[in-house]
Amino acid sequence: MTRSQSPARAVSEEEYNRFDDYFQRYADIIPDYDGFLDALSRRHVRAIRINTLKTKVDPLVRKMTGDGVTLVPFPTDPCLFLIPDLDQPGNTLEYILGHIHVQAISSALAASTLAPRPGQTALDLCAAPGGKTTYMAQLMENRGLIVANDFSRGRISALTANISRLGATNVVITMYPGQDFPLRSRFDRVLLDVPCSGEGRHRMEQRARLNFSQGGEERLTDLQKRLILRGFDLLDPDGVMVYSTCAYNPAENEGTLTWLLENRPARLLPIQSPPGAEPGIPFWKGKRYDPQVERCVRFYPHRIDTVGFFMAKVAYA
Amino acid sequence: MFDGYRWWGGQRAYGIIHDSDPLDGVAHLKVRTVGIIMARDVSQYLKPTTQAVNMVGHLAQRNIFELDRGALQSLLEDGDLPVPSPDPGYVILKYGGHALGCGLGLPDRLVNQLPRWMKSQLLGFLRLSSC
Repeated sequence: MTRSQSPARAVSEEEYNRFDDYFQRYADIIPDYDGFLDALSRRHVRAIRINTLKTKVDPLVRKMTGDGVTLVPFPTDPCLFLIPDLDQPGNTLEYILGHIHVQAISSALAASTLAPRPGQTALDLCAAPGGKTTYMAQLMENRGLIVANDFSRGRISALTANISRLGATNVVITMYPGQDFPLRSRFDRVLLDVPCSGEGRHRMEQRARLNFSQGGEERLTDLQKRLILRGFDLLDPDGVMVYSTCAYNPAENEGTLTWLLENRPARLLPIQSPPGAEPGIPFWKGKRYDPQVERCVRFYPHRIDTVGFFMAKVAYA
Repeated sequence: MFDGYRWWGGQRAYGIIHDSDPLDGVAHLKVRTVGIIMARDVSQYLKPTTQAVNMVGHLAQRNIFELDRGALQSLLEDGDLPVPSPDPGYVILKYGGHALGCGLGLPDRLVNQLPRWMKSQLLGFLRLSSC
């Protein structure tokens, strides 16, 4: 796999230990834990998605390459490129015109794994700021309908702005709490990128707040469970749902999927994932999860240079 | 150009959404936005949005103002250019062959109507590309 690495940045021993203290709880499930910590001392290489709603991949690649931008293709998606030496992609004409979108590889893969098709109906239940929504519109060639829902008033403006800039014309925006989204419709595709601890986004240079609390975890997983049940109940019997987080915590991931499998006639589908992805964890700290969770995928930053991520693909049993 | 789209209007804005059967199936939802806004009523004029100009501005055959680098920078920094417009009204601003958005042509000057986010990013682009 082609992989670019940004150079290691000097981090203090204090910062390194702080991260180690936090992530130690996952040392038994993260392969090459020391390599994982080292990866967190580096900034992850950013990526762009070429927006085929407004332009074509090959001519834009030629143009940007001619302008001196290094574009490293991502192996499993022809629209995704790593940009190891483009520091401010937002200050390019291509971004301003909506020809590209800056998007984490893992985020883009959630939409491409869902694979909505032209003419289908799709629901993005926690949509803001809209990277996955607009990729769905791109995959659907602006045909069919996407309902992009987000309960956060503060993030809706970013969602609206991205939809407009990227020219997604098959989207309506709603603002329900995801767990209370009305049940009258069923969707061919449901994307559920839930609120999570966000620990997959933390890198040492950002001086992230790393606070674990049992109470916080319980409140979060309670919400994730309600969201996943609602997402499944909105799915057409022949449809597909993708559940994703940017967390490593099995309680937020395999635990929530197990909850779904225990409470709904659901099954997990295998995912065609890029090299470097790890399978879901069937057992952790005394908790045994449904064996189907091994069909889920985990992205670690030292294996795939992107935001730490978890993804599951769900259908009716 | 707009075959396959459904137009909507209301609250001084007009937009489009791709027409599809499922659209009627979600009529029960409380919807905040529908598709993309293409124009707004501004005073007695109909102003195209930036996104409308991005989408279809390349088809325009008149009321186009092609900016060079210096003119774009001045327009963004000063807010206007001392360029008279014989036919006052909204014009399409182009740079490098791309339709960026709207300006307002007045008898004595051209006034920037690009959104704030685009202004700061275009200035960033001009700064970086001059290095």
